[in-house]
Amino acid sequence: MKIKLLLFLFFIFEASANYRVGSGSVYNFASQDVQNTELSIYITDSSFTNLGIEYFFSTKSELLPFSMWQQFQMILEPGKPLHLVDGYLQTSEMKKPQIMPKEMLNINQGGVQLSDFLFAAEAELNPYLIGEENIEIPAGSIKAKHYRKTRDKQTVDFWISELALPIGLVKLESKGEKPDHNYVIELKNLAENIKKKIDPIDATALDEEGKKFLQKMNFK
Amino acid sequence: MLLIFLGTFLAQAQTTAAAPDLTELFKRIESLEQRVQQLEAKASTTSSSSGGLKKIDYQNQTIESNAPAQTSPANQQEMIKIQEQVKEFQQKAQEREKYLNELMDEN
Repeated sequence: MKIKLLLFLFFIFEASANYRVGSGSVYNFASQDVQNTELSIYITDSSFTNLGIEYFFSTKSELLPFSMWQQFQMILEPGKPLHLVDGYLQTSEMKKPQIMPKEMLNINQGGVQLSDFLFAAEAELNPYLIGEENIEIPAGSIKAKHYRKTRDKQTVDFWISELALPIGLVKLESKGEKPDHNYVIELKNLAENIKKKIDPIDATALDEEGKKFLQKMNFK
Repeated sequence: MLLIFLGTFLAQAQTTAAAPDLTELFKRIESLEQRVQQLEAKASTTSSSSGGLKKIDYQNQTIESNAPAQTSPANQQEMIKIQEQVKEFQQKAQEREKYLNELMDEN
């Protein structure tokens, strides 16, 4: 299963301290290899200069159930691009969260990057606007702005609505030559008051189990 | 599944002296199943709509893959208790079935 795609699923319109902790979105995730899977993205920390976001990725397969949390701490300084400072990982098999090495935070080389979306102001996204469309998603019917970004051989179509803030993303379709570049994400429901799983204070260094897990997940 | 199993079991057991106990067991399990359904229905009411999009309040709980995230902690505890009781009754029903089979073999 390829999960490195998770890192570029941030869709936040503008830098602001108004991201309510515990709020976020829950998505259905589907690819050729992965079905019956949910992806949740929610705010864990929020201030003028810091933003914490946690992902929860789970498959509900009876044979191979899988749960994973990732948390990223970011700093935003005026006039500077987003700065990803810390990353943490925990799976259902790990007793404590583990610290992701810095070199693993910048992944998906050659594809669409985290910085393509995170903290992108609406004006910055406008060159990629296809139009405004009514779409049907599991969370309901909604009018959303359709954008398209292409880098190298990965094309990502995504739909954003201010009604789905703080994350904003309501649907995403990625296509590319690499198998893990092909997937669809649709909003299942908005969420509030989600408690974060990972507390960085509890995090330990990445152990052998963690290294093997990340290698299996295609982190380099 | 459990109710079907018990229904079949009860039909067989009607010819034995154990039938009244099993009928009571059946009623109790049916009552528990109804309570589980009521709790699940109640839990689902914590969801709402935001601008036409479904919204769920997770009530300061972590998101877990195997538990209904929209269920409140109090309801979760009650559901766990009920599930344990259902499991206990299920075991008793299996014991009675085994006993019934032994009786049928003897006759």
